[in-house]
Amino acid sequence: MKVSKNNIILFIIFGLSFIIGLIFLIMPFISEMPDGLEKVAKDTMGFLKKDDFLPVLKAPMPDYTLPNIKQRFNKQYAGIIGVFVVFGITVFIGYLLTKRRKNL
Amino acid sequence: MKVFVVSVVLFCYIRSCNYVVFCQKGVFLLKKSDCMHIPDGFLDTKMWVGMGCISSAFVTVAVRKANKKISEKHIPLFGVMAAFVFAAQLFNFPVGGGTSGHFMGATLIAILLGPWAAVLIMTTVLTVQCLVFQDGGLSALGANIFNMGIMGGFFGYYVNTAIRLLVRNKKGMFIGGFTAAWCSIALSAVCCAFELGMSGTVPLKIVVPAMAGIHVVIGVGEGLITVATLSLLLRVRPDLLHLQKI
Repeated sequence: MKVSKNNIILFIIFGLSFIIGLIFLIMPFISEMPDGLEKVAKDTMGFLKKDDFLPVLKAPMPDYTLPNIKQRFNKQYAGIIGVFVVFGITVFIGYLLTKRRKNL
Repeated sequence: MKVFVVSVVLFCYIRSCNYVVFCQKGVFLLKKSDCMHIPDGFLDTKMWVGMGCISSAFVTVAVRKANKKISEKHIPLFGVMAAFVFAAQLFNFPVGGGTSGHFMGATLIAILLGPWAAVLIMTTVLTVQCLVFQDGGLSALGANIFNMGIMGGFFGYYVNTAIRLLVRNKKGMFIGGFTAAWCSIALSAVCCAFELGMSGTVPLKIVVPAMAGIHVVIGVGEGLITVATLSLLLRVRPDLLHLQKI
């Protein structure tokens, strides 16, 4: 079966806009939910987190939030950045795998 | 004298509280860290080095297999599915007992693109989550890839294939997708629990039933999302369901 270029671009645009729409729709319900356990853990054993479980590497956007920016759609923006990063890297890997068929 | 007794009692009380908290910290933090993204410091050295070696071997084989079979038709679905899995892993839905769970997605990719592609895509997603968003530790990355990508992908793929052989019509696709997703998430959770138990973070007796019990519920959500995505793709682009499996 032949796949036209138009078809591929249409599929990508449809897929990504669907995903971004999903993020904007569902994110508010997620972030509004009070996480009871998180509070308990913070109250009773905040000290443990600092000593024992330091991450090896500091990430630019911990917990899916943009740092130092107080905004309403903070989490959504972080999510969308992540979606594009993942999409780009995967497509790049796929492209490399198809192009360099004999080198690997 | 009274002051002394009171202070001793207080001291013992605080110590015992600390001890209880210390024993529970594994389970607590396990629940807090929503699902199967193991953070740094949960696995001991032998565990994360071993898991890293196993996972890197699998990823190498996955790259070779994909290199042989991948075609230009696969690439857009690769990208969109990776983005979808990443987005779906953002949504924590609450499960009873104050815990939340999220979608895993390896089975969905394995059904659409094959198990080795699932390993590749899950590796990409997990690496980005680890390096950019600090979800899951860098030292535990190998274990996370093993639990979610390799175990979830392969087990889900073969369960789905077996059910598709038994039920050969369109219903078989949905039944197979649901069952495979449920089984894969349960297996991943048990694997994760065993890794935590064997590295001595949490007692094995506590963590295995806890993780299994929680993920039996999460698996239903996973199955529903998988079936919904499959039916959406069946409507929009049915040809994508019959791509060559990697």
